[in-house]
Amino acid sequence: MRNLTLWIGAIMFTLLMFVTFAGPYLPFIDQTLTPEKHRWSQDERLILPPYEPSSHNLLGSDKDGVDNLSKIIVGAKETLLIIFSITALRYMIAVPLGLLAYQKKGLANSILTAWNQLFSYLPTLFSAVLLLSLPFLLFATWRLLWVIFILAAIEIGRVAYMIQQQTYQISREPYVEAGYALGLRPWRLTKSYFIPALMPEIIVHFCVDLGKVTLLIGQLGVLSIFLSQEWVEVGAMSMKLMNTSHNWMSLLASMRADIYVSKFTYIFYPALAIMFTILTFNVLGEGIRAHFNRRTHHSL
Amino acid sequence: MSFRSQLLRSFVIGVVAMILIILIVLFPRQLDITVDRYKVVADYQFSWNVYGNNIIQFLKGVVQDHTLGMTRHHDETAGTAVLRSMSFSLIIIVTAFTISFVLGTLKGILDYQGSRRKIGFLGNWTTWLFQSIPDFLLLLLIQWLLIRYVPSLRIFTQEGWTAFLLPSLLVSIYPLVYIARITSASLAAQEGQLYIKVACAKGLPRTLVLCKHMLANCAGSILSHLNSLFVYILSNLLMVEYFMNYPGAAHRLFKAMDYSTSFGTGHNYEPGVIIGICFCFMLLLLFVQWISQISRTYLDPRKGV
Repeated sequence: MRNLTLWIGAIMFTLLMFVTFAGPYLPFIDQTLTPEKHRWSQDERLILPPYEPSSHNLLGSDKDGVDNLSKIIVGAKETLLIIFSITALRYMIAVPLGLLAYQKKGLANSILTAWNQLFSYLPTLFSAVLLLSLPFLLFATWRLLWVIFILAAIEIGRVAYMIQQQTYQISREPYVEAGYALGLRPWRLTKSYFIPALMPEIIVHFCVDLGKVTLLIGQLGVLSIFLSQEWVEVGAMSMKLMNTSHNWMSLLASMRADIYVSKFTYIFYPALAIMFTILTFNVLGEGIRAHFNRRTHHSL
Repeated sequence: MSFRSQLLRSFVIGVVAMILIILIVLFPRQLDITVDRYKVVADYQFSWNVYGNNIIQFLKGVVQDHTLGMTRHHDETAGTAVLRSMSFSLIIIVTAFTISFVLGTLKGILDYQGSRRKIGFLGNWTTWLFQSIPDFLLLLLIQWLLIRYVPSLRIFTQEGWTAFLLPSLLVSIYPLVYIARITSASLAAQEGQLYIKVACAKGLPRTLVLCKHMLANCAGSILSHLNSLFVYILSNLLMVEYFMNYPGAAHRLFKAMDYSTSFGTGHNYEPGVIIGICFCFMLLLLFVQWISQISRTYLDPRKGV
């Protein structure tokens, strides 16, 4: 139990995974999210939604009578999948790019530097809003995939730059120079010399980035920018982009107007779920970092 | 790379980034909305003609008429809107920048000092916990608490000291934690270096070693994060201004993008305002970058060795 942080992180992560995959099958969770338009109380009085928190709805229900807790738990899988795919895609492109550019020269280096600098001039959130509102993305059939790609692409430069700096430092180590002297091929050098030394750092940054992505799409949700949507008719000849998924960000987006009428609880629960997710990834990353640091200290 | 070419390089990249932003902003966004018997149909056709026309119109306006175009309010030019909202935001940005940098460095030192004692985990834990709270949640909580328990504090006002101090404080929370983390990490990285052992061996008090020797050595790596600090402040600015209804530049920028859930980009899309505000942000960022580069060169204790 020396590395308490890692333990706490692992427990929180297990909890998150349990809720995500086993959560929907728990008895008090309504998987289908059926709205309950009215309900009779024990003394035969009509109750209309939103229902107060009770043994029936642990966190209460929304205006259509859909259980709040079920909404969050059913949405968890999709939310985490989006977060993971954005971060994974980012690292899949950034890590090879950073490795290619580690000598700080050549084509890969130019691409990396330009990418990093360009997007560092505007906050990620602004770039995301500007790009996600491009018209051909609004009605694109594969909007979600595009969104994932764009959100991943915005920060590729930053991650690749980090990888490049780390690899450059490693390439100065005596054991790598020994590898050069042996005349190893670049592929072998990368596989057996760079990657093992980089791995701890990559994992830690991956965890931290998971938290960052969660925050970013949470912010997009608050600004009512849905990740997947459909254009439907809501009144006579008036169309509206409606959110088509149950992920937490869209819960945030659809509830935002309620803050102004001081119905704080609706937005509070999804935001709390997002906070728990970010905290899990941060603590986990910090724990893994401590774990790897401890090993290096021991070996010294 | 020489010092001057470094400054020049950041300038050139800034110009390229600006051109790219202009190209993205001027991308044609008008939808063809038609009524087909019983339903509304939206169609989007990209045409190079419209795109080229947008760019030519914009350049013509800037070069010939020295204007960025009009805003949605027909009696106001985009230029005045940009300047007005920037003047509101600038005071917040500068205050938040100062607060977060000074207090953040101090908190970083305290965190580092604390990590050597038993209460060490406290400093680090508060840092994580803060970084994990989504900014919108924190803003909402603060607003809710203030409205509920301190109703005498007027948080939505646009005059008096609360008008800019409260948003500045809110904007500076996250950047402060960020700088604190970087400061304590770079101080921890210095641990065990020979020059510290020498200083300690001379019998200098710990505080003096920390302030005069270690901080001077860390200054470079802390200052190299000034531009990420600035970008951090900008992205926080949007959330704070959005929730406080503050008439600042970030809020105006989002408004100018006119994202609506009816048609995506609506008819009030104001490219002039977006480009103007992005330009101002970039100027500020370039300025911060130069400060960071210059101070890094002049504050480095190894300079002139």
